[in-house]
Parts: sequence; structure tokens; C-alpha cells
Amino acid sequence: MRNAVRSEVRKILSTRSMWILLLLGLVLEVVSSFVGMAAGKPIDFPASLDQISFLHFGTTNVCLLFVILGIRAVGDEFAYDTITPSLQVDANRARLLGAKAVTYAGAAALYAVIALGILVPAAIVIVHTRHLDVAISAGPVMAAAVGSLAAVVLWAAIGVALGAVVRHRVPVLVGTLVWLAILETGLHGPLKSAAKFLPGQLTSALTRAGGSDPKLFGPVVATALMAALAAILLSAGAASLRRDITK
Amino acid sequence: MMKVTTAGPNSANCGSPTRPTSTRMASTRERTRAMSAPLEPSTPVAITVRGLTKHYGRVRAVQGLSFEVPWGTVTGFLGPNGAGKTTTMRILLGLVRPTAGSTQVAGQPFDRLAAPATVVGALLDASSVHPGRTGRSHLRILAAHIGIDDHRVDQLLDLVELGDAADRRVRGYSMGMRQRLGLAAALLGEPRVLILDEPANGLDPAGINWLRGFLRDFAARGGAAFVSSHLLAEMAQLADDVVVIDRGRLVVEGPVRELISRSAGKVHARTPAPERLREELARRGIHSDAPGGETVVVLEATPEAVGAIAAEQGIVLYGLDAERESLEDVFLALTGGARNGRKGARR
Repeated sequence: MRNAVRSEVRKILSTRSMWILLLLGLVLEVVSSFVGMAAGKPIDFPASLDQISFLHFGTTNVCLLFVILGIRAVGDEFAYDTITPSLQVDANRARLLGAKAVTYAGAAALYAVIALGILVPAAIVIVHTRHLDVAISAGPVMAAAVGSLAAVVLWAAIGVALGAVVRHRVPVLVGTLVWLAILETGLHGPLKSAAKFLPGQLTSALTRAGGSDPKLFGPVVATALMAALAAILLSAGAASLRRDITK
Repeated sequence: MMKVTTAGPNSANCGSPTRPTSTRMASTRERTRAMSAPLEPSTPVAITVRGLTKHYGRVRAVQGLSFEVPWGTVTGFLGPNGAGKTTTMRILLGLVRPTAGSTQVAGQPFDRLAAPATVVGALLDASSVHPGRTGRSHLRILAAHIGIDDHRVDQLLDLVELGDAADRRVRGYSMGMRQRLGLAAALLGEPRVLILDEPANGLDPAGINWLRGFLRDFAARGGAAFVSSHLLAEMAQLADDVVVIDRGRLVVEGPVRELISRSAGKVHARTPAPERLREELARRGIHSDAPGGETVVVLEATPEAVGAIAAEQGIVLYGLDAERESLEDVFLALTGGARNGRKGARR
């Protein structure tokens, strides 16, 4: 598995569109959040730091970025038929999928650590220098950061799984975007209390973007349900990868 | 169906006939030898295919195919387009599941090989590379997965003469360069078996010469190369054995030389008694023509058979010349080249 992960890391680093997307996402996230805090009106700041928007990746585009990267991790292999040489050096398809999930989850974790590692101290400095009336409490901030980190990690794994299930990048990318941007929101009303099981709602619960919204699960349950969803989709992806590889 | 089962001329692990090579080729061979020890076969045969069948819906791509590829040989895999060659190779490499039957490489199904790249190297499609990556990064990705040092990548880039283009993106590579890159990828794990699908595609004459020398050297060191090609003249020079399939079924397998020599060609006999010779041949159901003079053209016979009949009947012969068929002739005859309208284009 270690070799497979090492190989996947090299794939990311040698694919310009992948690492540029990652770097661009990180820079945009950090710069836009920093500018927002430095130039924003005091009234725009929440009462406590753990409710500041950049801490909740689930409500930003970061989860979307990693689900796209995860889908591409597998979709690119089929689009360019690099799946064939990949399976010549390791016939274990489940291991290949696992290595991709681990690698992209790792990349997501690294992204989250870097982004939050820059933004949280920056936010504390800005709150103090601008004398803003924002409560800073380490516990809630840490909990939100850990939840956001878990969310991007799980979304990256879900992206890999979706890529393996569908194989073709375009339909799965479009389908995922349509689901997250349109369908899920539209389902909130009809599903009523069951809407809290939807992936977007679980992400909000996980990252505590919804505060103490009673309609959402608690963060631990949300994490467990998101992890279960990722595991089910990865199993489906592994089963799908057993199909014939023809060109 | 003709089946030739005797051992190939180069079936031993050493002593392969040396063919003329260019200076460039010789240096490549030296480099190859320097980086690879003799390949020790661990099983009686390199590749075993038994009762292989693959159906895609109603399409029967492969039907009950069985053959073996011995160690120390280059085995050509021939068949018309759509005969099932690529499907067979994909099944051998675990990419496609057979409907029935089994395949083994070095005594194991591909998906049970613990480190497949160290046993079998494959080149199925030279375009199976991410166009945005460099040749070097493509190989390094695979090397990392196999768990071998990047130094091996540099060695192979030199071997396939891509050293200067190694850091260029693959989208800028010619077809020949992609073939060379694919071959380097196949060789990364120092495998004992090579499975190559049309490896000469896109190669220039020097590249084909290089490939021929490389594969002959690989076989001479005990490896087994299983190579599909539509370049029959090239295959006649390169392969020890051939496996010919058509419509998913085995047509013939065996050494190339036996295949050609056993194929019934024309025999030109010179005799002072042409009519008597023709009568004796006709009595045995062998057709012949008499173009004039002392010559008899015997159809669908071997010189050995004509000579034996003449000797038996006390007919004096001044000479016997076999008009040998080429591998292409044999291939077209076996696969019904005329069926696909190829007969007129064969020369």
C-alpha cells in the first residue's frame, strides 16, 4: 500500500492541472478569507470565532474542490487509459482504489491544516488589532477546525469512490455538482426532518456551520454517518472496478 | 487445421542465432546485458492459455482458445483485425475476465502474481499515458508503485533512447516515441515475460531494427516475448513460433520455419521425362503443370515428396526447387484472406 500511495502522490505532483487546482484553491481560500477579515465591517463578524465562515469548509467550496479532485483521480485514469499500465504493476484493484482514497484524503488533510494553520492565527491577530467584539474560545474553534478537516477528508474519499463507480468524469462531475448545488437544497422541504441525513446537511453538522441547529445531527453522529457513506461508496467503487477494462 | 508442436529453433535459453545488427543496436544490446542478468524460468512454459472463451453479449471474441508460449522464444500472435488478439492479451493481463477457460503467466493467473511487474511486462497501447506528464514522470509513477529505484527509470530511458526527450510532455511525443516509452514501462520490473501488442506500430525502420534486436536478445537470455503484429514479414524474421487465430479460434501454432516449410507450395522439377513424372504424380492425386521443356511445376507438394516419388519410379531428376510461401502467404491461406478482400492487396 505504501508504494501505491507513493505512486499516487507522484501522479498528483506530475499532473499540472491537479496541483495548480490545489494550490489555486488554497491561495484563493486564504487570501479571500484574510481580505474579508482585514477589510470587513465589524458587524460582519460573528459573536464568537468558531462561527467565522472560513472555519466551515462544508459551507465553502473546499469540499467541492476535493470531491472534484477525487473524481478526477479515478476518472483521469480511465480517460487517458493510464488504468491499464497502473494495473500492470499491481493487479489488486481494491488496493489501487484504497491508495487513491488515502492519498486524496491526505492531500485534503494537508490542505486543511495549512489553510487553518494560516487563517486561525491571522483571525486572532485581526480580532485583537481591530478591537473586534468577537469571543475567542480555543475549544469551539478547535472543534470546528477538526470537523472541517474531517469533512474535506471524507469528501475527498467520496470523490474517489464516485469516480470509481461511474468511471466517466463528465457525467459524475456534473451529477455531483447538480446534486450539491441544486437537488439537495430542493429536497430539504419534502424530506422534512429526514433532510438531516443528506450529505450536505451532514457536512454542516460535522463542521458546526449550523451552530446548534436542532434540525442537524451532532458532530460525532454526523462524522460517523459521513464515514459510513464514504465506506459504502468506496465498497461500491471497488466492486465497480472489478468490471472489464477495455478500451 | 494444422498444428505444429515441435520445439522452436531458438527454444533453448541460449544459442539464439545472431542476426546482423547496426552499431547502434550493438551498443543497445551491451547496455541491455549490462543491466539484466539471465532470466531464470521457474515454470515449464511462460504462458498457458486453456479453453479460453470470452463473449461480449452476443459477440464471441474468443472461443475455446488454447496454446502455450515457451521460455526463450519470441512468439508471434497473428490474426486478422477482430480475431481476438487484444482480448486474449487483456485476459492474460487480468484486465478482462474470461467467460470460460483460464490463463497463466509463469505458472500463475496474472491477478495472483504478488509482484506482477517483476514477472510480466506489457505494452498494450502506447497511448495509455497521461499527455500532460513527462516521459520520465510516467515511468517514475510506475517505478514507485513497483517499489524500484528511480535510477532504473534513467537506465531505461537511455535504453529506449528517450533520454533527451524524457522531460518533455508526452503530448508532444511521436507515435514511435510513445512506443519506446511503453516498452520502457514494460521493462521497469525486469520481467521474464513480455506481452506486446503491435509494438512496432509507429516505429521507423531503425526503431524496428532496434526492437527486433532487443526481443531476440531478451529471448536469448531465456525470457519469453509474446508479440502481436500485423507486419508479417517482420514477424517472419523475428518470431521463433507463431500462434495464429481467426474469429477467436486457434488456427495454428508452432515454429515459424516448420509452418512455412510444411505449407504446401509449388515445386519446380526438372526431368528428362516430364510426362512420366506428371502421370505418377496424378496417380497419387497431386496436380502439376507442364510449362514446357523439361520443367514440371508441382502444385501443393513438398520437394521431399516429389523427390521420393521420382526415386521410387526411377525417374531421373536434374533439379528440384521449392517455391516457398512466405509467412504472409501462409497466414492469408489459413485465415481466409480472400474472405476479407485482402488477397488482391497481399503483394
